[in-house]
Amino acid sequence: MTEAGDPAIKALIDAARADFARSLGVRARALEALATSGAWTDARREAHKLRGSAGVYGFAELGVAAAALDDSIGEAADNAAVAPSALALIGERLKELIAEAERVSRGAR
Amino acid sequence: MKTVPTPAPVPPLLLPPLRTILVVDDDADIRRALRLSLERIGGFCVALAGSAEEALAEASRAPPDLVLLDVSMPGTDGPATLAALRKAAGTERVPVVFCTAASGGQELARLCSLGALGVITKPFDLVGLPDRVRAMFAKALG
Repeated sequence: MTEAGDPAIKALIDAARADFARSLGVRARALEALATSGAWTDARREAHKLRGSAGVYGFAELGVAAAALDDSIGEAADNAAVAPSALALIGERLKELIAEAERVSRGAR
Repeated sequence: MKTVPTPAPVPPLLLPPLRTILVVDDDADIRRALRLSLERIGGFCVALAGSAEEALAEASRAPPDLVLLDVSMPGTDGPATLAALRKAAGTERVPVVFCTAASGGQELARLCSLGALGVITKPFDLVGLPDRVRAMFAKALG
């Protein structure tokens, strides 16, 4: 077992965090494409994944943005047809998520 | 006057060790994080599965001491995977801890009522997670 303060562990965590951050720009655009095409189930799954993983890797704000998008798609999907107001909210939250993902991704380069 | 000797204290029940953990999550980033946390920090032997089907095959091949099981997976979800583990030979009693991004009290209570040792919510702390898992395992056997 390795002590959590071990520099080697810190290096591993930092490397994993950097890899995750670098992937975010592409992932955010892929999520946008899913939402734009109306593939709500897949879009929600991606938002849900980011909701969980972003915080694990230390990107709390991104996790919050992903949670908001996950919830808004979930609420809209409960209705047979997605209302215009729900679509507008999803669009806003998607923009916030993309902006945050790109900010984090730029910081990792 | 004859004194009655104080009986020696009963030694604590020897718990089976927690050595191997099967991590089940469809998200590769979460699997990577959990392997880093549980293996490199926690010192456990970690096997990974990306789906219920992979989990059942791996658990059948090499029954783990504990399963850390994502709730929301495409196809067969976490609760259904737990039910399948309970029906399969060799994994009927394997302890399971759910892992979920959901945080509502009702949902967490529901997951515990399915027979899991406990629930870990995402995001979790990579450094503190191994001790939390040990504590859940020990509490369940205590």
